[in-house]
Amino acid sequence: MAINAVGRDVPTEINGQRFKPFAGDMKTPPEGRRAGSLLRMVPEGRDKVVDSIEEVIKKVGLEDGMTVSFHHHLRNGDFVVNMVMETIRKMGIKDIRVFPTALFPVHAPLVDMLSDGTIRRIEGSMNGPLGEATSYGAMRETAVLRSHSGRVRAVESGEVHIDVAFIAAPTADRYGNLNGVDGPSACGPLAYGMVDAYHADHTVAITDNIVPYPAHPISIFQHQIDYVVPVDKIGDPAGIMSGTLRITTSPSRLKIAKYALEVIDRVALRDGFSFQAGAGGISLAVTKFLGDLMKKRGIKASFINGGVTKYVVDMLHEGMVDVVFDGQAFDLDAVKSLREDMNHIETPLAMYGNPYSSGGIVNMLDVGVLGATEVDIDFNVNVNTHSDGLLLHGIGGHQEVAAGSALTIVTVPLYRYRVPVIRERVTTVTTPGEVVDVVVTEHGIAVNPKRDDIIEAMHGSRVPVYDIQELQKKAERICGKPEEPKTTDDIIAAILWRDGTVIDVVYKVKK
Amino acid sequence: MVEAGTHEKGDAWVLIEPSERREVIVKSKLERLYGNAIRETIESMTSNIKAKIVVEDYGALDWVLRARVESALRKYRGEQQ
Repeated sequence: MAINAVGRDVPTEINGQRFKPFAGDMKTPPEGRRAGSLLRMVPEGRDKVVDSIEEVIKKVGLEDGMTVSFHHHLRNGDFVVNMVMETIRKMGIKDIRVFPTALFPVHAPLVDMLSDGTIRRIEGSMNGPLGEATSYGAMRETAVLRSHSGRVRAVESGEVHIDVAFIAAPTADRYGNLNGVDGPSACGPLAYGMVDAYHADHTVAITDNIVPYPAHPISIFQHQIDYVVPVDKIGDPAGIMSGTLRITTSPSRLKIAKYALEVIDRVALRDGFSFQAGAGGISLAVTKFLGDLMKKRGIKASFINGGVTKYVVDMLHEGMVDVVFDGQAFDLDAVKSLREDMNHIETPLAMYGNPYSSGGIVNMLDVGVLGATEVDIDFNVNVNTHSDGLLLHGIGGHQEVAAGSALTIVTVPLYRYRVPVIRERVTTVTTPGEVVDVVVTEHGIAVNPKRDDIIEAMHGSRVPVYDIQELQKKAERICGKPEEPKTTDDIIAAILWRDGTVIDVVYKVKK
Repeated sequence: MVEAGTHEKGDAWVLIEPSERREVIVKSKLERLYGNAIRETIESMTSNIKAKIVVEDYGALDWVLRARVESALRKYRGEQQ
């Protein structure tokens, strides 16, 4: 164990693999060369279609102990993970390492596979039941959580080697060209799966929409796909798309959005600025208000990085932004725009914010507005665990957006129901305070003391500016001091910073 | 038997019914964080009452909980008179 740069005691070995303690963003230089996948030669013939998942698993030679990967563009509507894992279980293959970008409540059937020997560990985001089961000790080995970019880095650096990538494809041709913008299970981009397609030893596309060769547009190209497996349905559109996302109607949440807008206006708003968009209620409100303000000022943005929703697409169509970068589409307007608009660009996740690359999109962001489960008086942010210690959420792109944006704003209510959000110490550190500039609540804002320029810029504003300690005390006065999480000394998960250093760990929760 | 409150998030629901012996049942979504605090509040407000008291908490702030308990207590006393 070692104490890292945010004061957390972290292991230097996880699942038998060496890891360095977090030393600060961009403080741990990379070593070595990019890792590669198996060279292979396609068999003769013009068809890569295999009839069943079982058959394809036999063809790729999946064995006990291997690593399988998935992407989460189908979110809570995904059928592919369960379909593949159930087949693996039935075939009696054991000790699999599952390496998804993210899992959702729909993947609860994997909980039983943690105890029956099918799965030894999961390295990826676990939203809901799998995270909860893991918190109570269901997973044999230690879970490892990485941000979107951290996952790409892990694959590129060889920290994680993928034996077989199973890639859900809303559209495919028989020779393995894939896209996500057409078909009954359309999801938009296939950004999360691209690194897997490139670096896995074997790649399998699973689709419910085979089209004549060549499929187009192409998100993942044929030379990276070994097999194509047609199935009835890869997902449920109701769970893939969010329907019409609504801006929050809560007056206190709207106040948070308005305060955030004023900070942006005073610090970063200028013609040609850029920002990160998301799908959360407050984030949508900020996007909408920002659009209104830009119209009023007669300025436009150079690009929006998404998390693409109808609100972003509307801005693109109104000419208020030159380019939309799309790593994830949340509604059908976003999917349609990705298919039709030249300046709506699907970006491979390797381009997002990998610190061990020649530079990601996040490095060009002026403004990033993010959420949090907890924030502490050192501006550290937790998005992974709840205050009772349960691991219930992934990291997403939180780390890299915070690290890359010139102005990083975290928008949170002071408390949720009775649970204080601004704490003395976050339960888990996901993102360190060094990359967080402003915390915005409905009571007012707190500015990271190292950002004198922002404190200066807020002079004369109607938005109340507090020391973060004052906000923390206020939250505690209202809610009362909550009890500490009841945990044991067993580490059930490691939280990695985007560079692969260990920023924190999650402990087993007592039942 | 009286009830007060709702089952909405951020609120609490309280039931009091006459009973031979005092009994307090607490269920809370925030048991791990505020279980003890909630029990203390209920105890301090109802210790002189011999009845079955059921509280279902959905993340109520302490004074919301107090208001619901007090509301139930007043109804209960009214019915007992």
